[in-house]
Amino acid sequence: MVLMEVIIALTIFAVVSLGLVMALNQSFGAAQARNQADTAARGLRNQLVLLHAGPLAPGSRDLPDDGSGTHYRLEVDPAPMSDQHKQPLLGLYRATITAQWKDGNHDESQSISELVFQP
Amino acid sequence: MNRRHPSARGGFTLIEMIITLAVFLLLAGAIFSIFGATLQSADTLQDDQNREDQAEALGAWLRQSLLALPAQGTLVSYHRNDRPFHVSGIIWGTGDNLRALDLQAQANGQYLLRFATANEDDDATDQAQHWGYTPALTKFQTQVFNDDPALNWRVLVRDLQSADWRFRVLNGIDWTDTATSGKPLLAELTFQPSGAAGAIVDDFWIPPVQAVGLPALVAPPVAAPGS
Repeated sequence: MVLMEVIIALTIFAVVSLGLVMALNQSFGAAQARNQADTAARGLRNQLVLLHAGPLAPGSRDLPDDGSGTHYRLEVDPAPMSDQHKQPLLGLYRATITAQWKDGNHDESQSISELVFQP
Repeated sequence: MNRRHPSARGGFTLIEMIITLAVFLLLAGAIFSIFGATLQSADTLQDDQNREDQAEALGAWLRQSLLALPAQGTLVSYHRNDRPFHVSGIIWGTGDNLRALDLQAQANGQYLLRFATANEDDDATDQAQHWGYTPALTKFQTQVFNDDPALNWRVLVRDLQSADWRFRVLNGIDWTDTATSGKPLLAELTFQPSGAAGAIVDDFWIPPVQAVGLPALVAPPVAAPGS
């Protein structure tokens, strides 16, 4: 066995080990992205709960930051609907909250919406 | 005398062994440091996930429990002077179904979140069924405040660095640190588990009227022993 053989064997060992570590790192990256998405989902749910605090004005606006680094935006639009007699149902709005955050260099977003009756 | 030259034996020279060992040590050092960091990340990630799961279970149970709070139900907060938070716990429910969520100091200086219900065979509950919820609430409040050993506390979350509540009443503009009577429209629980990077916030809507079709009693997520 010459030195070259030993170095080649060590190189193969190093490449395989680094490949394993890189695969593990990818898994952790995916898990962290999942955690960020879970945090955003929790934030969205909280923001939806806070909508009950007062009347909603149609239009769009940014919601207060919750400290998680996620940006929340609220859009309230009239939701035109009619009953079985084709009579318009008034006072219905669709509130949509969108969460935006960065995952590395990627922009991620998630939204949640609810119908609101506000006569 | 027949003497063989050392290089004719087919072994390694000293310089070859030194170079090989140096290369091996460099590679092994690099790989071990990467493995170490990876295992550390795995532990951190697992802890984060456990905390997230625990918080999710607690939030889901509280959300369901507060959504099912009847129109005549109540939610009040209380404060003990030995706790550094605005609120040491909350009591909610009706006369025959009162529950408490309490912060208790641990020996390590952190806090645990625990849960108890009023004893169903208690005299005060009998009074409550006849006279309304007030006597039962007062008695349960006293029991909780004095840490009455008759109460059967169940641990929900251990090792909290902090936990606090705030409330917002119907048509209220600002949040308040206490809920003294009736029931608020919104409640917010903020807590930071030990080791967590940031606080976890959960907002709860308490409908002014009773929610329909929800189960009246849901078992809370009890922390595993030693977790």
